[in-house]
Amino acid sequence: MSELLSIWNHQVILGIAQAAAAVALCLAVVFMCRRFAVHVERETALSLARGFVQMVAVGVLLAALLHGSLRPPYAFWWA
Amino acid sequence: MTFAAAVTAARRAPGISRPRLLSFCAIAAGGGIAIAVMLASGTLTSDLIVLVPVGSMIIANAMNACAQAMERFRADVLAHVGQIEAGLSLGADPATTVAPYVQSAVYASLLPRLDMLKSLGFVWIPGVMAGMVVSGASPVYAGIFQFIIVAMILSASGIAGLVATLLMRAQAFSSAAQLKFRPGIAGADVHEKPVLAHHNV
Repeated sequence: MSELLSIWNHQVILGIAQAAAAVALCLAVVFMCRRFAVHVERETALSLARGFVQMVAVGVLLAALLHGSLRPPYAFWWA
Repeated sequence: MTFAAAVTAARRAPGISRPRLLSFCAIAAGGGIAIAVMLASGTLTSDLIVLVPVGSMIIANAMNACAQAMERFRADVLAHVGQIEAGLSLGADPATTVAPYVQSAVYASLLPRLDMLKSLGFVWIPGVMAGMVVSGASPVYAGIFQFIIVAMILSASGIAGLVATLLMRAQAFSSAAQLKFRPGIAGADVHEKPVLAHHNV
């Protein structure tokens, strides 16, 4: 648990703030498109949400795999 | 880099005047705004070692979006010359007559990037994240950084597609609101020539 909490360091918090700026630009582009009757609001919001959640999930999974031991707790059986 | 991208994308818009300038403006607008926002938010530093590879990814995707938008708009207008001219003859505004084709061109340029963003992480782990993880960076931050890059690619593509389509729309009509794109004139293929031409022969 402490390993999982340690991955939420200040660099990750900064990354989330930078991602918010990227999302803001995406939304600005979507509203610009809306002026020309190109309606991609729903699809863009869904894509952004899915992309962010999936990347964070994969990052957490990789962090757990790379920083933890791959040996199961009952490994002493064959050690 | 942007000029080379403009030359490549301009090949998708034969028959219009100054296609390279049009492509350059679209790609420079899309790529420039995205990179400027990344620099302002601190995602990118002004070091060339960071700026060149990330900038090239954004410019390359803006080029693809520009080419897709131009090709789609040109093809749609050439396929609907009769409807557009009917609208113009009834007194419609030129922008109104091609509005559906502007929409489809911009949407077509955005669609691959939206799908790329949706499948991020689960379907494919992109190269930047893989490289950062291998070099020892925090995987969570690497994932967020990759998300930012793909989101910026989407923004740059949207801007490039929109600017390219609007600039092409401006060139599609003369000052007297006459449609300039014609099958067989606007760089169209031989099979797109009007049937009337065959009757004359």
